[in-house]
Amino acid sequence: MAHRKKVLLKVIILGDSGVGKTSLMNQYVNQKFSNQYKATIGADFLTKEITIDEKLVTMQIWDTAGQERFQSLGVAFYRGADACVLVYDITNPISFEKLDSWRDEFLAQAGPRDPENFPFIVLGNKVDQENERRVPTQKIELWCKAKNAQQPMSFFETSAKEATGVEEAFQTIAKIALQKGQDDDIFVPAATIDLSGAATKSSGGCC
Amino acid sequence: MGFFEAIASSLESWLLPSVPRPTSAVVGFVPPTQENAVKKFKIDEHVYSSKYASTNTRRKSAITVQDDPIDEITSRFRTSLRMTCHAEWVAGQQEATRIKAVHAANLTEYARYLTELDMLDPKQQSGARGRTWKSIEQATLLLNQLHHRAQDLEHLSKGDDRRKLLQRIYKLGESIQAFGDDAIAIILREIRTLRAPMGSLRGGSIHVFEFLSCFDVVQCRLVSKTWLNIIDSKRLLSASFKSVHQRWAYWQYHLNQQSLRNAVPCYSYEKLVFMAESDVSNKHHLAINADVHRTTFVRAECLYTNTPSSRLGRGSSMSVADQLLIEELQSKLARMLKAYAQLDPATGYCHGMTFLGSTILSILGYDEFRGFQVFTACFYQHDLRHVFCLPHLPGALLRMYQFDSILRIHLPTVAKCLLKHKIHPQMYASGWIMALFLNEPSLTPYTIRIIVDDFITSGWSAMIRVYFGLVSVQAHQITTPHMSKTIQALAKLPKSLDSSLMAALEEGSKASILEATNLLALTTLAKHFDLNSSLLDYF
Repeated sequence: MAHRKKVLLKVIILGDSGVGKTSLMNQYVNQKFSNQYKATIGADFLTKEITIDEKLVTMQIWDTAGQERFQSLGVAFYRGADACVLVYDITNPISFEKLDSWRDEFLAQAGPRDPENFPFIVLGNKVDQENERRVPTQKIELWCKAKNAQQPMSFFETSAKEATGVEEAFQTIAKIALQKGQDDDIFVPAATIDLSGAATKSSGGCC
Repeated sequence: MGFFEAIASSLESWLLPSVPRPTSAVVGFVPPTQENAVKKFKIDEHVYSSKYASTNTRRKSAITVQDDPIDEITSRFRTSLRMTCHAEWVAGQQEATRIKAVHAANLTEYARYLTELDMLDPKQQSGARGRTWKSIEQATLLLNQLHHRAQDLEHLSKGDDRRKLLQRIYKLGESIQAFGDDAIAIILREIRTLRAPMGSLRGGSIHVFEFLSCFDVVQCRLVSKTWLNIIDSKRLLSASFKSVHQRWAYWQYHLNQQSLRNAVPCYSYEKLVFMAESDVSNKHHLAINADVHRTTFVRAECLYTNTPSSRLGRGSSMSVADQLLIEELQSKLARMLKAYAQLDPATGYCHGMTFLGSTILSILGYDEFRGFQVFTACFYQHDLRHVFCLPHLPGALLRMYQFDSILRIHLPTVAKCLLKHKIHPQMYASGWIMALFLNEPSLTPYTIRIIVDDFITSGWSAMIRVYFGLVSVQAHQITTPHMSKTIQALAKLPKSLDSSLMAALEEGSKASILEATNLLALTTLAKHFDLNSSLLDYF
């Protein structure tokens, strides 16, 4: 394990109020679900350590408030994000329609270097309420393709309540962000600089 | 019969000449007999008039001014003569007459209260006399001026000048009224203090100190100071309330004390609720319903008995009674929030309001009407409105700026560390400011009460002291070389509020912090705050 090095990934979860952002984060990090989550004020975060391709990755997941007026309190933690998770509720078409504005707002506030290829992932939450579904899967697939034809955004349907698809979704976003990070070579080892690790680090295909 | 009346009546029996003087050891302290009292009164009067000789003569002159002026017939004659060209003169005369009447009324009132004060404070120790006299003296002086100005009006030929002079006369009249009101207010306050049972220390029992040595007086001072410090710093008053009623009285007293500058607009709660019910298309109602549905409540009985318990909230395992209770509470809270959105449509509803609303409701024993009253008072008088205001929550950013500025001065190491890691207060303090920590489910009833009491009695000064104290107590955990560790420590702070509350309150009530967070200091900081350029060094 010569080139195991510590990497920090900053992931932001965005989406309308009540779509299940806090539940998703808690399900992923603590494997717990409760229907008593309260409205998030400003922002909250949890961290989780995972291993991807023999790399120890610390995911710092920022859960945000879904109400629009909180966007002005988000600037500080949008900056320097490595990936963004957009969440909507499959039983609530308005939350789906708002995805566009969440994405634009994020890109405007965070100001990433390469907004076209910034790692986004879309989660349609609450699939446990399949019989109340009001956003068909085709619609979201089309939306993902429309945003970026060459590399459509990854898309998962999840249920924070029943833990469906949560693990896969966050694994995927971590992988995409890591890949993107290596492409851009923007990672700075967080704690200690492991020279051997840095030396053997091979960069992937450049785009 | 009150305590003091009882004493007075017992003294009366001593004063009656028919009753033989008791021959006891305390005979040396026998109060003056009636003759003595008369003598003393004469001496007092002499001292009084010699002390305030100047004012007394002026007082007389004021009265003569009042009596002598143009008698009615002359004034009518003059009026008829000048009516056509000198409207200002008439107005001036009217104003002068009016103010004279006001002043005379004030003087009568003053004289009445003065006799009352003399009865309460026979040794003339109260400093209020002097202060009152100053006001009366000023008023009399101004009245003289006003009188002359009113006469001058007659001689002025230019309309402009007359109007200017008339304005001046009106201003004088206003200040005469203000001085008169001041005098009455001062003397009334003094009388009230002397009458109050504790105030009697200043009037009646003050003579006890004549028999105490310097050492004793110092000890008295020390003891009372220590008591006050302990009661304030340990929030013993907050902890002492055992019923909803007591806390309600305490809150009302403090909310009535606040300046009327940010007064709550007049409203009728029933009307607001009705308006909210008929306003079906209100965009806030969806959000309110969703947030209220996931709001949990502390049981009212736990808030006064210190018994820890799980919070009331929607869940699967609940007794029927609890389910009914939570449904009732949630509908009360929803009504309150919807009514507030009607009262203050500019603020409407925002995430975070449920926390304060539900807590107030629980503390007041689920009284919706009183709850709404306190809730609106917090928003208007303590400026929570500004915190939740659209579009950019300017109040929240302002409080962050104030907190950050105080941190930079008084905890430079922590502030430097945060700046180095680019940890903007937005990343950790939103919940501290917008929910006053009440969004932290682990808080005990004890902590909740202290926080809410502090906010209602002292507003943002108290909250910023708590923020500062908390950071200061946990400073060693926060100052780390790693950004992620620092931010984690900050995120955990509200969880440690219970265990470090007392230490945090103590840190926050150090003299330098008290000074830095008083209303004046916070206002000064607010003047330096700019929404677009402040705290930019974090980016």
